[in-house]
Amino acid sequence: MNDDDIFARWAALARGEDAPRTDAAPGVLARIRTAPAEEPGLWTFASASACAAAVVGVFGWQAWNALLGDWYGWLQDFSQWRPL
Amino acid sequence: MSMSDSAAADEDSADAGAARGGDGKAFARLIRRHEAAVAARMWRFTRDPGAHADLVQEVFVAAYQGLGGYRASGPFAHWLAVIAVRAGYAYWRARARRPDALDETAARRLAESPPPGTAAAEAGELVHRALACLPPRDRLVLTLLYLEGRTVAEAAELTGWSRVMVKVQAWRARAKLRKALETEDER
Repeated sequence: MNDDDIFARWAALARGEDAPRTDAAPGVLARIRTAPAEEPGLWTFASASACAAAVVGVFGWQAWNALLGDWYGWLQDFSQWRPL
Repeated sequence: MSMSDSAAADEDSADAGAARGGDGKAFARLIRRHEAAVAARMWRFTRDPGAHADLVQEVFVAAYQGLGGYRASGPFAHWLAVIAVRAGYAYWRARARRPDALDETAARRLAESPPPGTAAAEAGELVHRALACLPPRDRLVLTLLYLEGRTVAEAAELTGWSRVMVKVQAWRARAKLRKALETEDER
């Protein structure tokens, strides 16, 4: 018998162990009242707006328009791409 | 799936939907139905009763925050198991600065098969101490395969790793565990 088999026997025995009883509900409900469920859409919108504002603030409107134009142009190129 | 399993799945699905809408009582029912299974799993991640209670709470808080991503097409228990495994792994990673050392007595006992009449709690303590010698990734894969008796496919689903990754990680982890047990045994 190798070491793995012996360890597996100990582990199989340990599988029957009872864990301590817990009463999580009151604590969990108290915590989620103070930390409401995340709204990914809201965070995405807020992050994107902050990013756009930062680009405009640092580089001006022209830079933002150029960035959007590049992205739109790249999208058009990609959609019209055909294999040779 | 039996009738009772199907009814439980329906209840889970309904309560998850209500909890997503802000119904705290529905979420409390979900907690009560799944708490024993989560507590059993988290006891494999820590033997400290205080930390264990905190970890169980953390799993359910994470589940509540992720309810938007739950799809009722799969069992709620399975979705929760993935969250629990990730919470436990994060707990180990946060405390992985220095893996625990295995004492000589424990190593010597683990070198022999468990004697008849060995209590499950005693075996659990020894196995936990042996696995605590390993880095979190190795510890996680051996905990799932040995302590939970999961298959490679199930371990892959719970960890989010590929099956090949689980096999490779398990092979490396077993080699490290063997070395740790031998090293301690040779002292």
